[in-house]
Amino acid sequence: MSFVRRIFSGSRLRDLRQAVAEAPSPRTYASLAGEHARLGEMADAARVASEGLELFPGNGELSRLAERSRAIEAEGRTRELYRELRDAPRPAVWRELCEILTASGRLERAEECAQEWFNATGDGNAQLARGTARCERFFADKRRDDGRLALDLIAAAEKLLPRDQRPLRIKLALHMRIGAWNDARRTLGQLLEVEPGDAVLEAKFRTLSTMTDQTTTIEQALREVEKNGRLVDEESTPQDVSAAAGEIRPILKQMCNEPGVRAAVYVRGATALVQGPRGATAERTARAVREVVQRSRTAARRLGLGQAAEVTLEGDFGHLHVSPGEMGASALWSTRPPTARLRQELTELAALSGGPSKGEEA
Amino acid sequence: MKRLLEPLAQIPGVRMALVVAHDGVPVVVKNVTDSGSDHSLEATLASETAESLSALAAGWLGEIERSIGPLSWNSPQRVVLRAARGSLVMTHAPGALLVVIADQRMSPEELRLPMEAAVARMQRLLRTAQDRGGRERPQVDPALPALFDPKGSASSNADTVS
Repeated sequence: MSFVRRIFSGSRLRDLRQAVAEAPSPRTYASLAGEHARLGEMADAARVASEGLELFPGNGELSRLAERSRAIEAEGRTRELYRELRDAPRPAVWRELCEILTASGRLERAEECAQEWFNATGDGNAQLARGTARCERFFADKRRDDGRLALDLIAAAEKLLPRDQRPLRIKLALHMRIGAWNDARRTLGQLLEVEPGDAVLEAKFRTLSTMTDQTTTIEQALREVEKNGRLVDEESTPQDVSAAAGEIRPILKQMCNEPGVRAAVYVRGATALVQGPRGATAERTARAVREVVQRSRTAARRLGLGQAAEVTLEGDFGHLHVSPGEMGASALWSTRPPTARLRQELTELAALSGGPSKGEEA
Repeated sequence: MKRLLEPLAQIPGVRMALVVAHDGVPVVVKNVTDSGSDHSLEATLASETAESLSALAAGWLGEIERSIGPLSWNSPQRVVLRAARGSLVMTHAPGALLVVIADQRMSPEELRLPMEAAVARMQRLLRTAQDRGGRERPQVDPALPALFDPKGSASSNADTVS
């Protein structure tokens, strides 16, 4: 950067910092973070955006800026690490690279890197990095095969790193998140042998001892997670269930008023809200949407594509656009392709944490 | 046939393009990692992936058809599954399915035109082959059994005419 530009940007930064001090708002924070980003100071940009988020939690613009700056910073560090690996490969560089790749969600690349590290050194830490990346992949996709492979890799790391608590902790997290309580208790026992007297672990062990009547095996638990697409700690709380029923129906009604829309559906578990068709047709439509959502979620995981985000069917019947969310799913049946606004509304509807109360409402 | 999928596979963001029979058997596979050495380990792995992908994609379409069947809807002409780590776009081709797996950065809508073009190319190829077959083949009653030469292969009119 030229000397003149540096002076100008310096004065701009000063002004923006003053603006933040005088009138802190999401806009002023975003402007300051943006200026840092323009100057290539990604760490500063992320720091300013995070500071703004502390004052204005949940602000979309600041979250996006913080996330983006961190991603660019990690990208830069990744490039440096790759260069270092080419010149002088060593475990510390591999380890940092694996950690960055795992944290940034590039799990496939993280595993490849760990595999390369393991082939070169035979280090147990490499196997642990592989296991961690595969475990994260399982948490994201809920594929049974990923879970099995993650456990195999962690077991291999355990053998290579005896009396190391890290593989045991990852194994424990996996067992607990899939609801394999007996195995979790066994792993906790192993962890307590390594870390005797740990109060948190002891408390967990006591809690798990009361749950051992649930004799779910790992294989059963993994199958259940793949089938439901949900980990044990992602289960919805019962008080959430009826919270958003009131706000869903008006949205569906509004969607149905759009030209060309034949039906708007929201499904969650055994419950469905349908606008448009009536009687038996409404029931059939809800059942079809529910099945399409279930099949598509499983197919996306099995195909290795991760969590399903959108399903579209086009044919002589028109367009069926389905948006599967974490809890429920929304769908729109129309004679023409839904507009970008309608699609956005569907995604937002599916992302609602609440849902209709129990019972079929067609 | 593989050349039909070439333009599709060359689109940035497309990981794999396949023509799959309705029973899930891959007919043609075009992988972006395809190289000249077909015997490499990568090629073997890619073919294994293609086989499972084809089976899963066709199976999923079958399940969708069964799900929407009670609404008296016919099989969807185009199906799109957008997910966290990529998209699957499937469309009906003559006697088969055209399946494309794309990166998450790519919008499935960008594949609409190239896929329709690929289907049109397949239809044209089939028409040309049928026309050529119709010209070369003798007009025999289809109810009659085919004639076989001593080598065991089906005889054509070019073989029998002296």
